[in-house]
Amino acid sequence: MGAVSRLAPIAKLLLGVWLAGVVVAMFLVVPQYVGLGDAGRIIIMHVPTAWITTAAFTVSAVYSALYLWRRSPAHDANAVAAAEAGFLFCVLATVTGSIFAQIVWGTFWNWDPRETSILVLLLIYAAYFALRSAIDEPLRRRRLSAAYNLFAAVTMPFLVFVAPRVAESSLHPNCAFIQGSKCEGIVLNAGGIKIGQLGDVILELKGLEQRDDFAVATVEVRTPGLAERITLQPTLELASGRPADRPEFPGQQFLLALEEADVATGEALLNIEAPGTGLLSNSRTLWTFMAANLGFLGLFIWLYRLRADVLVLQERLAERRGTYELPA
Amino acid sequence: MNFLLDPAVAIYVAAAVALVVWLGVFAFLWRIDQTTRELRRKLDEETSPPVPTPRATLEPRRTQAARES
Repeated sequence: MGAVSRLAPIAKLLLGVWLAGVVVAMFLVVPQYVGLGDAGRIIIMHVPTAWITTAAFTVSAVYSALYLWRRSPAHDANAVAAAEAGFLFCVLATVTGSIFAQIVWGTFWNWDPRETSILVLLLIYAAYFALRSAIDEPLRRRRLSAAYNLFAAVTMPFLVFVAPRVAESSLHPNCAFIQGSKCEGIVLNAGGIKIGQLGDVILELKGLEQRDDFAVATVEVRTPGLAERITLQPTLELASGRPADRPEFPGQQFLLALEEADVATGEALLNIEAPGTGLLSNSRTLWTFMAANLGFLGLFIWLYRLRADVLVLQERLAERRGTYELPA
Repeated sequence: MNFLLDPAVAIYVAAAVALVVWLGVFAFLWRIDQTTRELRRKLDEETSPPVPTPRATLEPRRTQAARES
């Protein structure tokens, strides 16, 4: 028995304890987030599962490429196993994201660009499994599915990283982790372009004036489908240049902030502050989040190696059965 | 059962439920892992090549006296 085989059970036990610790920390160590309360804790599960999804589909694509190069059935088994684990983590990310959406946006499914792109990703990999199950001849099945898997992997970074960020309208709090992606807000001018969109809501700058030490913007907010129309008045402290009053969007936990204002020209920089933005600035949240990433990575490795072992064993058993069934 | 939903207790209840779910998943994975390992060991034993055996045959040595008789 090699050293790796001897250490594997210990590593798996440690992983069990590690993730149990993450679960406990998620509820009892991570503090409540202002504006989200206990719902903010779901970030400890949601983001790592989404990141592991991309890692899993990448590993799957690498094994598919190796299969096409060397034609080893073990590489094909590893590719399928990694894709299955990736699919599982992708479903977990979608479900936890939907729960978050229900709490923050008031609906489980909003056809947000992030939700739509992850659904498309799930469908692409569901088609991979459908393709495999549709071909009986093993060599042809492995070859075709490996080629398909490479194409699927090409779409993955676009669907996960690019599409949701180039979309004009997204409520997904990207700014929590990556600054700059649709976090810059919009500039409106009371005397010029006065209508713009932030997330799913349409804003119209009705006026910008100075009251004492504050700049006060009067903004009419219209929710999707014009279900609600409300006037909000975010303010900016002129001396410090920092947003002061951040009123809440109707029916949502998003805040409207006036980040810059030029009362003379009537120009205002308005931005949306999504719950989750700046969540990781708390060190306890950050460490628990990092521990969750590490734990889920370990869980993915264990899952896909185990599944690949099972697939290889299935094949060996089928071969043996076929040999025994040969006529004497 | 309503005391479980009390705001002061609910967070501990949620943590306990999540912990039990994870321990269940872990136990399930551990069991599959052990079964797989055992099955692989048995298959390796079955399919291992047979130990080579000597193919020589024993014959009584014919002496000169026996050949002459």
